[in-house]
Amino acid sequence: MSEEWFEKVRSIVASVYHVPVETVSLDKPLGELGADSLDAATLVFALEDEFHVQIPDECMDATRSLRALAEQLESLQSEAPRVATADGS
Amino acid sequence: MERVAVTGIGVVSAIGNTTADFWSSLTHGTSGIAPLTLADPALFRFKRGAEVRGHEPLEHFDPRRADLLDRFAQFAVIAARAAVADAGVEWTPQLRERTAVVTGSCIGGQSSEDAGFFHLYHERRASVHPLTIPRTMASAGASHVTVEFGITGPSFTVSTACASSTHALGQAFWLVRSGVVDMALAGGSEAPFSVGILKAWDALRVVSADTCRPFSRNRSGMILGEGAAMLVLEPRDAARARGARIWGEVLGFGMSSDAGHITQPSAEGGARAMRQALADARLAPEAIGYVNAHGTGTAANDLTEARAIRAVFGGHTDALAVSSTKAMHGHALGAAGALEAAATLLALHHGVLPPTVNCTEPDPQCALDVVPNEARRAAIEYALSNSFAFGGMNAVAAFGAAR
Repeated sequence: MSEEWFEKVRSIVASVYHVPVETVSLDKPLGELGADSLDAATLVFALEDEFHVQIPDECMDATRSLRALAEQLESLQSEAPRVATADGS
Repeated sequence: MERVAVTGIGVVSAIGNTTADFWSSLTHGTSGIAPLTLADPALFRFKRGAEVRGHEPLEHFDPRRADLLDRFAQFAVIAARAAVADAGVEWTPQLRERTAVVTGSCIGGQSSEDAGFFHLYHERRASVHPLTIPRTMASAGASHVTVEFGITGPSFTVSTACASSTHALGQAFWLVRSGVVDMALAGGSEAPFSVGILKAWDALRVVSADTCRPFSRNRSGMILGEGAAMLVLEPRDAARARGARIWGEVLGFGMSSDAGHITQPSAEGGARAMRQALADARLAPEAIGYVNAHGTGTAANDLTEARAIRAVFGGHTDALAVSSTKAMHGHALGAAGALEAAATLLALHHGVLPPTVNCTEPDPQCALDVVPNEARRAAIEYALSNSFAFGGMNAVAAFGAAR
């Protein structure tokens, strides 16, 4: 897992929650990144949109760290077929 | 029954984002109709709109809250803040529980939905933003107003197309008059300048290719507008007791349905709503000095509304001033009635009638004194504000000068 990959995930978190990227720690549990379930849904959307993956609900367990999620994103991206779009492509 | 005073007015509009600027534009006949900037004019037959200028969400909301609010809900909160400040409301837990919020909106946050669907259908992304639903709900404006002030009394949103915020004002008025609540924030907001929505209006072929000319023979249709207006309503005695400035009173409210066509208005429907408002206010038609017309600048509206006014006022029509302020602030759909209620109250307060601008060829078929092009000084005691929506949903509010 490259530093670059982690940095990309951190910067997405920072832009979703409007916080400086340096305050986003990879060791933070996901539940402490945002305030509520709407925040969590917004983060999932941003990550899915950026990495073209479908993130299963269990990956967003509030007790998991951002680092664990970032690692999983990479494997999701390498194995998952592209998510279906409105026109079926 | 309580008498109902208006003690606060807040406005966001194409002709001013403060009540003072809004009123200054209305009295100077300054129109906010200008080339479209919020969407590419090349995409539409019409090229102009009455857009709110210089709106920067981050000047009003922190970034995380701004994300949550569609433009229409931002306008609602900004106008409500101004109205509450204007009224000098001092919140207590009891007042928060005894205050209602009633807003009107025709399309709610459909601009956010439009953006989400662009993402989905055009950009072929897999999903839409999770805030699409919370931003799009037509009731989001009212919700965010309750959150802003911690208001825990009743809140709801009325959606009756272009009469939405007059219906909202009417419900709020009745809540205060009957003593169900001790205060109400009432009004409406709208922000329709999104490509999909503008295309839908373009397809109806009711939007003018140049400008809005109500009651003028050379009329060519309506011009879309946006914005918000919110009013603070409270029992007149309570307002006096706390020394609040009273802009005017809401005296009555009337509603009717055309039960006819989904877009063509009927004179009988509009006339019934005006009569209902007069009856509710216990006013004779002859008491009314000014009518703020629905006045969209379409032939269907202007001719029908003129007939409706004559049917209600008979011979008194010739002594009646009737103006449409839509040629200045545009047709702000669900916010129109609230903006026009504000204009009517300010007219009563200042003793000045806002003009129907762009009325270069007064239409003899309308045969009304439309206060063409220049404001007129006139001490008026009672006035009506008409809102006649698509679908034949008519709402009319009756106002009185503060006494």
